[in-house]
Amino acid sequence: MTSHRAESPDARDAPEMLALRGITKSFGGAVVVDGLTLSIRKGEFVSILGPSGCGKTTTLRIVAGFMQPDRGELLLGGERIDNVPSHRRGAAMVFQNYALFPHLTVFDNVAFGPRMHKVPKTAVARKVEQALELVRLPQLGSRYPRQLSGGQQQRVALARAIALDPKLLLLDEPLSNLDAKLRKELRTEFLEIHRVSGITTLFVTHDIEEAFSVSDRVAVMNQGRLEQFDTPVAIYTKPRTRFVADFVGHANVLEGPLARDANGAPSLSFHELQVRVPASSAVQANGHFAVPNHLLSISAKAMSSENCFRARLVSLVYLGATVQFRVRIGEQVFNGEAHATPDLLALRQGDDVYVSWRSADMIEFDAGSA
Amino acid sequence: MPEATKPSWTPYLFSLPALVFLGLLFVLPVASLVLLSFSSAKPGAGGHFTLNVYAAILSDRYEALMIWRTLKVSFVTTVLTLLLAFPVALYLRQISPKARMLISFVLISPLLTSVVVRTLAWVILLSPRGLLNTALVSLGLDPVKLIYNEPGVIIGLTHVFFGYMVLSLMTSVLNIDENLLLAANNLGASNWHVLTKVILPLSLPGMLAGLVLVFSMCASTYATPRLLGGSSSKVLAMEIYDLATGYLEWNEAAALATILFVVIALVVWAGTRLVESGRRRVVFE
Repeated sequence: MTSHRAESPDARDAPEMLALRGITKSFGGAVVVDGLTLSIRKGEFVSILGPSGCGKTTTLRIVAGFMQPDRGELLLGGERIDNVPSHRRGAAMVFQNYALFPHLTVFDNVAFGPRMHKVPKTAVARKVEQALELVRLPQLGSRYPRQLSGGQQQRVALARAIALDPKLLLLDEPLSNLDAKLRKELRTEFLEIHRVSGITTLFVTHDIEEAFSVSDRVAVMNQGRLEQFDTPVAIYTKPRTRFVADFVGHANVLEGPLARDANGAPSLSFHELQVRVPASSAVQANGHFAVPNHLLSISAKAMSSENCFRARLVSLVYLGATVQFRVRIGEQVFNGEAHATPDLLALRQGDDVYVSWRSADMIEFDAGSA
Repeated sequence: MPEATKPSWTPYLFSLPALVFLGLLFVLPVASLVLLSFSSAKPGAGGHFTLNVYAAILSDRYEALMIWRTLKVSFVTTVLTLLLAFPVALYLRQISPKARMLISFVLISPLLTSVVVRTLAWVILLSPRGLLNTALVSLGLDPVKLIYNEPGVIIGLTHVFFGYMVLSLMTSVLNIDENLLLAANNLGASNWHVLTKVILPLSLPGMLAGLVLVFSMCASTYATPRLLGGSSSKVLAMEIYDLATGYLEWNEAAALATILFVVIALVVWAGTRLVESGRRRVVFE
């Protein structure tokens, strides 16, 4: 599976579907969502990514109409929906715990929405059939939720939400109660269903891989505020803040004054290290760079590339296809991940090694917010 | 593993005290009561098997009326407690756990006092010169007769059994996942439909438990109808007591007790069936 998703070709210039403007919500004095502004295009698959307590679920519940924002505007398809009750918003929610009605069969669960909207009987049956087919559970209509596996329940919850042809699909950590294998399976299915149905989707998760693999764009949230809203590639390679860099897993952060070396190339002084940085970097008193873990090379012999340093191997963790290692260059600890080659597996803790990375692979970010 | 299949007597051994206790103090007396109702003679005087006692009771309009009245009073009381307790259970869902504990304690605390005490309080309130009528008269209104008749009995019983109904409902109503209600709302259900299509069907187990509990206790209750009822509102438990202790008609008392037992069992069984089969229909139709 690819690490990110190519943006839907027609999404870039699609009209705006959902807009949050300065949404603010506090509970008992604690600001949970703080002036959140977000614009989502029609047909887009957008993730809200952040650690627990960052306000992402609250945001989703505000969009769903389960709670009122203290301030701010909410627009769906160009119309204000702040005062529209949840049952008339056309924003269908899939819950983390699925929230299937235990007293109803799968069929009746999926039919709940259409029936509540007074859809004629034959049309209800057709809608339910289509929805169950879309989630690949056409045979299970007469079962009760308790007779289904977790993955099947999740699919029924999805079918129930899309049976109404909603304008907006809201997914609240829908995969977090499933095991890793099923999670990967289901998220490809989410993509497939999104491709087929074209429903604008807002997906809340704390899992970077999950967010990156399904989303056109990712909104990273922290402490109720939007840190960055961009494509997965941009989030990873151009993190705007220290928080985003940390959150997407950039553990090797280099910080220090920038100067030009003898050849006129910019170089960073990081403690006792002189590190060559991307040629485009502007000379400044204090620059911040990250070296992605998987772009750090390790070898027993010196490498002839730029930014090659002598280091001591602190630990080496075998993960099958890859190894995770931790090295110390002088006093600074660096983390890396590499393919598990025999040469690497021959290394022992405490060995002297060489570590290197290409200056072009370094990511510069703004450390404005901590 | 041969050891695993060997029957073990330990569980039976441990339950022996309870079995003996129930056998001696419950099964034996009930069995002898039922036998007595089919006997032609007084207890201990021999006699042979006969259906005469039942024939006499069932052909007696007075006794038939008594059975009917007992069922009617129990039914009305049960429905009233349900109607009163359900909104309370719903309210208990909405409030904080702390407030819920306080309020449920207040609701249940009357159960800690004796039925007789609680019923006597109603006598003070409802009697012809009681608080209610004194107040009504002093306001220039006509006094009402809410004691020594069926309404009096129903008022008293509803109060006595209200707590049991709330307790039974709470188990179901408080366990309904809030997300289910949000989901229903999100799928287009109005508040009314959230109540009728989700909350009510999911409360059925607790409701059923409450209905069975309150109905069977109502049908066999003695103290409240004795204190709040009059000669025109006598119920089966009172009649059984009077027959056994007043007229020493042990066989008739035993037969009426057996009838009461069977009637309650039948109603409970029918009610259970009805609710279970109605489960789906309550939801969509």
